[in-house]
Amino acid sequence: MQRLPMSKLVAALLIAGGGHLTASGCTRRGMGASRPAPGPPAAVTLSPLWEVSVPDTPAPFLLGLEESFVVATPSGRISLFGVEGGSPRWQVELGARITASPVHDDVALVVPVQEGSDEASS
Amino acid sequence: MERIRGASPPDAGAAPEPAGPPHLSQVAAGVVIAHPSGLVRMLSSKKKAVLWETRVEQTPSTAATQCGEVLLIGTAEGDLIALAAGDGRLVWRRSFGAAITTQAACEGNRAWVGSADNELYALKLRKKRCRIRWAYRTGGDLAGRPMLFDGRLLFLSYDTYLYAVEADNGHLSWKVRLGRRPRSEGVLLGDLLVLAPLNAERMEMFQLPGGTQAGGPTLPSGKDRFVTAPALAGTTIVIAAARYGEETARVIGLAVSEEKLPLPPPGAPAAASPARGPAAAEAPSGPSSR
Repeated sequence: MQRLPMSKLVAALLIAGGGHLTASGCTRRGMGASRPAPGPPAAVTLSPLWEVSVPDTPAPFLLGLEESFVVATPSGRISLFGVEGGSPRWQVELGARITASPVHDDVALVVPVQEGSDEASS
Repeated sequence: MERIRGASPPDAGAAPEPAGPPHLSQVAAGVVIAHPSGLVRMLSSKKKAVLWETRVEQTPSTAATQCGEVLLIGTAEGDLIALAAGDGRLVWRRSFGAAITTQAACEGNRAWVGSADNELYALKLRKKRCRIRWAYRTGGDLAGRPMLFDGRLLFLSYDTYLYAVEADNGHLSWKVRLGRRPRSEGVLLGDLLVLAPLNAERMEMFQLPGGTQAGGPTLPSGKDRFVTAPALAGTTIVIAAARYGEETARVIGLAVSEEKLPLPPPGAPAAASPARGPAAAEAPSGPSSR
C-alpha cells in the first residue's frame, strides 16, 4: 500500500429538493434592472432577523441558495439552514478539510476538500 | 453524499501542487474546477461525471466565467485563457502582463477583467481572439468580480474605492471610498449593492444607479468584524461575523427595509442627508484607449 501525500479531491453532496444559486448571479440580475422611477426618497436599512452560531471556526464559508444557505467549516462540516428563522435542516461531516466555498449547480453542492495523508491510500 | 470519480487530480501524489484552493464556479453545463496546478475540469452533478479536463500550463487565479461558447479563466502569469465550454480545448489566450485578479464579467461578446497592474480591461470577444476596447486605471489591484448594473460596470480596487464606470467607454460615473480593502464579492438586491470590506465592522450599502451610500449595520467597535462576504438567500442577506480572539463565528440574517421619507414642501431647501454621495474622479484613475 502506498500512502499518498496531501491530495485534493472534490466531493459532491446531493441536496434534497435542490435549490438555485442566487448570490453569484450579480451580472444577470443586474442587467435586467432598470433605472428606478423618481419618487419620494427612502431610507434603506438592513434589520437583523436572526443569528446562527458556528461553534468551531472564525472563518466559515457561506453560500446563499434560494430558500436556504450553507455554512461550511474548514474542519469539514457542512450545514444547511432555512432562511426563515435560520433553522437547521441537515448537517454532515465530510471527514476532510474544506478548502473553499461550496458551489451549487442546481443538482448538488460541489465541495472542494483536501484529504489528509492518513486517509488517502492506493 | 457521494464522490464523483475522477474529480481528484490523477497525479496529485506525484508532485506537490502549487498552494491555494481551487477556484470553483457554476456554468451552464455544471461546475468548473480550476486547480492551482493548472488542471481544469468540468464536473456535472447531474451526470455524476467529469465531462472533460484539460491543463492550462499556468496557475489559474480566477474562477471560470462562461461567455457564450467559451470559458474565461485568468492566470497568475497574466494570461486570460478561453477554453471551449463543450470540450475544454484552448480557443485563444491573451497576455496582460500582470496577474488577472478578478473573475471575468461578460455580456454578449463583451467582457471585463481586472488585473494586478491596477487596470480594469474591457474586451471584445471574437472567435479566435479578444481585443481590448478600453482600460481604466485605479490606484490598486482590482479585486472581486466586476458587476454590470444599468449599463455601468461596478468594480472594487485595493485602493479601497468602489468604482462605477460606463460599460461602453470606461468613463467614470462615480466612485466611493470604502476605507478598507474590499472583499471579493458583494451582493445586488434590486438596486441595492451590499459589501463588507475585509475584516470591517460595518457593512456598506449603495443605492444604484447613483451610488448614494446608505448606512449599513455596524458591529460593536473593536470587538467584532465581518469574516465573510455577504451572500443572498432569497431576499435575505446572510453574512458571518466573529469576535476578535475567539474561534467561533455567527451567521446573521438581515432583511432590507425601506422607510419612506416625507417629501419636503415645494420651494423648501433640500434637507441634509446623512448619506455620503459619490466622489468625483481623482488622478491617477481614468480610462485609456488601447
